[in-house]
Amino acid sequence: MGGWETQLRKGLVELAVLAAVARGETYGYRVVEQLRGLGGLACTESTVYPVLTRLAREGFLSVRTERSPAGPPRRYYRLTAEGTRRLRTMAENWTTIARSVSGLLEGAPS
Amino acid sequence: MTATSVRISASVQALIDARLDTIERMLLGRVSRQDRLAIVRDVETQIHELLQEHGDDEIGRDEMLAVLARLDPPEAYLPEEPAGELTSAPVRVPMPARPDRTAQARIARISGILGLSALAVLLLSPLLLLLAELAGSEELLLIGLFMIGGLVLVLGVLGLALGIAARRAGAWSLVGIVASVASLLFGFAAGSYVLLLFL
Repeated sequence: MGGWETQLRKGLVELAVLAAVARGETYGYRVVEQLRGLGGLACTESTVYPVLTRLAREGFLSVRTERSPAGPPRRYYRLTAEGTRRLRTMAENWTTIARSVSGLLEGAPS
Repeated sequence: MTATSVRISASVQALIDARLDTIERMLLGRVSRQDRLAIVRDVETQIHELLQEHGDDEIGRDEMLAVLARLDPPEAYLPEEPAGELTSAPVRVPMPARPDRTAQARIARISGILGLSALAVLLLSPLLLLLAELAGSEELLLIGLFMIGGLVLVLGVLGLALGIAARRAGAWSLVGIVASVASLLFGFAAGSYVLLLFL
C-alpha cells in the first residue's frame, strides 16, 4: 500500500507544483510551504525543488533571479505559455480520472 | 555570498556549506550540473529564510543545527528511480583520460632506448677494468663500478617500468622490457662476481 501511495503522490507532485506556481510568480521555499500544508501530498523540499528545476529545464517554467534580503539571490518561477498548457492538460486528465475513480468508489462496499 | 540581516559566523557558514555539499554529492551523476546547482541554490535560499524566521541578530551553532534538522536529510534527494530518470539530458560521468596512442608509442620508444642504453653501459664496463688496470688504480675501479652499477640500475628500472606501462604499444616496449631485464640481471650477476673477487 505504501508503494502505491508513494507512486500516486509522485505522479501528482508535478501537477501540484504547476498549480502552485500558476497562482503567481513565486520562489521555491514558498511553493514548499504552500504544498506542505496540503493533506495527503506530503511534499517537502526534496521533492519540490527537483521538480521545479526539471519543469524549468523543460520550458514549463521561466526562472528569474532576484536579490533577497534574507541571503543568496532567490530564484523566482513563473509559468510559461507552454507550462500553462501543460497545467491545463494535466488538470483535465486529473479531473477526469478523479471523477471516474470516485464514481467507482461510490458503488464499492466501504 | 550576499549580505544577510543575520550575522553568520564562519563555523555556522561551514555547517551550511557542508549540508549543501552533501546534497550536491547526492545528486551527482543523477541530474545535470545545471539542475544540481539550481536545487542547491533553492535549498540555500530556504536555509536563509528559516534563519530569518529565527529573528536573532547572530546565529549560533545550536540554532543552525536546529534549522538544518528541519530540512529533509540529504539522502532524501536520492531519486528512487534508477539513475538518470530524473533528467532527460544524459549525464556523462567523466572518465580518467587514457593516454593516446602517440603518447604510448613515445613511452615505448623511451623504454626501448633506456633498456638498450643500460645494456650498452653494461657491455662497455670491461673498458673500465682495462683503464683501471692501465692506471693501476683500485680507487678508479671501485668508483667506476659503483657509477656503472648505479647507472645500469636506474636505466634498467626506468626502462622496465616504462616498457610495462606502454606494453601494448608495439615492438619498442618489448625491446625496452627485454633489454632492461637483461641489463638488470647481468648487472646484478657481474656486480656480485666483482664483489666476491674483492672480498
